[in-house]
Amino acid sequence: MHGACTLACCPECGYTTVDIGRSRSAGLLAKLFSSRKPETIVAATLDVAALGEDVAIAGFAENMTTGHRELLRAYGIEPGRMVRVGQHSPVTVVRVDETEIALEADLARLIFIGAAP
Amino acid sequence: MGGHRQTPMAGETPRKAGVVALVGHPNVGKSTLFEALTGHRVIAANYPGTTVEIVRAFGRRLDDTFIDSPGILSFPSRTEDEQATVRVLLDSAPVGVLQVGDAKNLRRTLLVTVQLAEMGLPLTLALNMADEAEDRGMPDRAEELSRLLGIPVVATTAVRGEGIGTLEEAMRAPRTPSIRVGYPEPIEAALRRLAEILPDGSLSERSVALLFLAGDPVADEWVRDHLDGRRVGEMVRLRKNAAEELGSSLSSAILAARIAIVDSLLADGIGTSVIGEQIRNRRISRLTTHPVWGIPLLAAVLFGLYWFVGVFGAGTLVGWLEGALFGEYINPWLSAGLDRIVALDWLRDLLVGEYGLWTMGMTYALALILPIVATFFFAFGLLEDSGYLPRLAVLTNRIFKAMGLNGTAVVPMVLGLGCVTMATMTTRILSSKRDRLLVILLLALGVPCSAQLGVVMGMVGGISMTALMIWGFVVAGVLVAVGWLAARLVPGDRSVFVAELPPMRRPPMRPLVLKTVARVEWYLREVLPLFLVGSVLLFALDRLDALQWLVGVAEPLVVDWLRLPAEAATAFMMGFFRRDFGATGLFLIAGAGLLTPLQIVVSMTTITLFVPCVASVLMIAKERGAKTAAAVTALVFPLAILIGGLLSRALEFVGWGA
Ligand SMILES: Nc1nc2c(ncn2[C@@H]2O[C@H](COP(=O)(O)OP(=O)(O)OP(=O)(O)O)[C@@H](O)[C@H]2O)c(=O)[nH]1
Repeated sequence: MHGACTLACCPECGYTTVDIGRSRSAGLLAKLFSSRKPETIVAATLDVAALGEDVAIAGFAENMTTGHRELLRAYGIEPGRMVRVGQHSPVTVVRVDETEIALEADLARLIFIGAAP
Repeated sequence: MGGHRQTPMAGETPRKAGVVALVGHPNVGKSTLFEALTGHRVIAANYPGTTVEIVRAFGRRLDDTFIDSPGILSFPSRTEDEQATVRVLLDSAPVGVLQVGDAKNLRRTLLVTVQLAEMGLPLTLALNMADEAEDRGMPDRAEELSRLLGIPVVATTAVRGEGIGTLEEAMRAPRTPSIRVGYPEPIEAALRRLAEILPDGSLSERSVALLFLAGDPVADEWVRDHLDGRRVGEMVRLRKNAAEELGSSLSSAILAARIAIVDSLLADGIGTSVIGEQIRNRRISRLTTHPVWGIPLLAAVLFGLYWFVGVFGAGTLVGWLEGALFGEYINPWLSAGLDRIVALDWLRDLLVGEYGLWTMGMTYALALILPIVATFFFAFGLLEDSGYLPRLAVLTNRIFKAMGLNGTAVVPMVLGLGCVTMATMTTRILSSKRDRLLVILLLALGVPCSAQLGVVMGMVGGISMTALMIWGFVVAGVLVAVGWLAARLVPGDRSVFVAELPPMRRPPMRPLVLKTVARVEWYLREVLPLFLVGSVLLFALDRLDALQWLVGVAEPLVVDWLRLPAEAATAFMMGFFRRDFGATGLFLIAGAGLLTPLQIVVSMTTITLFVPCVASVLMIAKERGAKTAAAVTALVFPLAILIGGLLSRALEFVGWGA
């Protein structure tokens, strides 16, 4: 196979498959239609927390930037504390003490939660 | 200096008058309290980021100079307005700090308190918004806190002037806080070494060292300004070593230690409330960000704004002032009077001629613009104080996401509808350089200011609803397209939307009216001279026949490309100075029956996309540097002309409005 070829052919039966991973247009399409949710949900995250519930913050995902982590903690969203979930659309809104914080799903997804004790 | 520095121990501090800095979270009432203490009016509003510049004034009853600073969430500073606050603390040699906190959010408030405590300055804590804490059934904890922290703590309700007297009394005998945060050993070791290197300043070396370790950009700058290269190098090395030894981010470790102290303070009796129960305004507040109900509510708000400013201000009031008062009485009377007194032709022209200081400069500024900005400022103040703007950010986040921005950008964009120049300044509340640049570009490109909006509404709206929709659609389309493109070209990542939503409040009338008056005054002081300069400039160009020449240069573009009558070139030249000038010029040309509906829509679209005015370009230069200002201008003008020409052809093609 040379560089641009994206076909793989079974030497036994002659069945031809396409290596989607090597196709630019397929890659682009996949990007366009991909849902950006992570494939495996390891733990419950804030973006899917039930509305109206009090949930405990369990931690932050590895890939959250230090800047965001510190910003959230300064707002009072930090491991061990309770927040009340108000809404998820258009963005997630939670209440910590008497402060309402609005945050995008992209960020809420990086916040792990546990149930209220 | 450094005479009042002392080990962080409790104790009476001898009181000498000097600079006292007001520091606290965004939107806790610092400006309101500042006003109560000094009688000096600063603009306060119910969204974080109202104070983007520092203001200073003498105390009314205390002999101090107070400084109102932009809100800070925690140290190190993240945004430019937070950095202004750190700069105040480092550079203004304060003799004390007045922390303004939110009585209903003690935890967050105390997080700032422990950081201020480290600075070794006498500290007073005002627990503001005491009324809201009371509404939520929270007990007054000032005394308890005062005991724990070793400083005066006073509950205040700044909007009603409650607790101000007590606060002033307490500030006469401020004390240095008794709490001290302990950090992990690698940090403590670094702090000891850093403190030896740091020069004397008004803040304790420990606190400056902490800012430096946490990577505060202002502290970095300060250190570089005050120490030679060798010592700076030594400090940077100490920071690097400490981070390596710690094995994690220094700023996170510092924050964690502070949070731990706050937790222990709160455990010492000031139990945090469980999340409060439903209270009055929360229902409305919920509706404003509701995915479904939020939209009609927004439409209603926009319509109200349009009606009050566009119909009442730009129509009714301008009609009275410009049409009747100036047009029929003052100006004819003045011209006639001057005709008799002033013999010199050019001098008379300079005053009351076509580009006269009075007939153009003053008349435009006072009769045409003033009513519009006054009504706008009032309506806008209403919006600000109600707490609606940050909620608008929630609703529009998705649109801004498409442009590589986040909902926070809506605040400067909406402010731009008042005055683009002022809005350019508020881009400081955005957290990244990239966002600020993008918003400034969009503001310059397609956000019409109140003055211009009125003209556009009158002219395009006068044709038909379709015409107005074409204009709106093209301008919005260009904004989104350019935003989308620019977001991909300007390096850097989009910043994710995180914002605090202040509670919805019913705006109190008195501050609202005063605020409007203060803004109008500001507008007159800042903008009136510009009008005068602008008209002198136009006068000179006209006298020297340079205008004719410039118009000659512009004509091919205007006539051949935009397919407008030659007269329109003059309007576009005027639009170069202020796009509302240009719009008004086109208004006159259209009034003379020289423009077809198609040409009106094309010319209005083009002028809307022009750079707003000389003042806004100067503001961009001031905020972002001359290079950016030049680049924005160089991009916007050709783009505006290009879009205009294309629109003209497109409309012709579909056979609209010829
Ligand atoms: N209920 C209540 N509202 C208050 C009180 N003090 C101020 N406000 C309101 O709170 C809002 C914010 O006040 P500002 O004085 O602008 O707050 P700030 O801390 O200066 O805000 P930034 O400059 O944005 O950091 C305004 O709408 C005020 O009218 C108070 O004691 N009680």
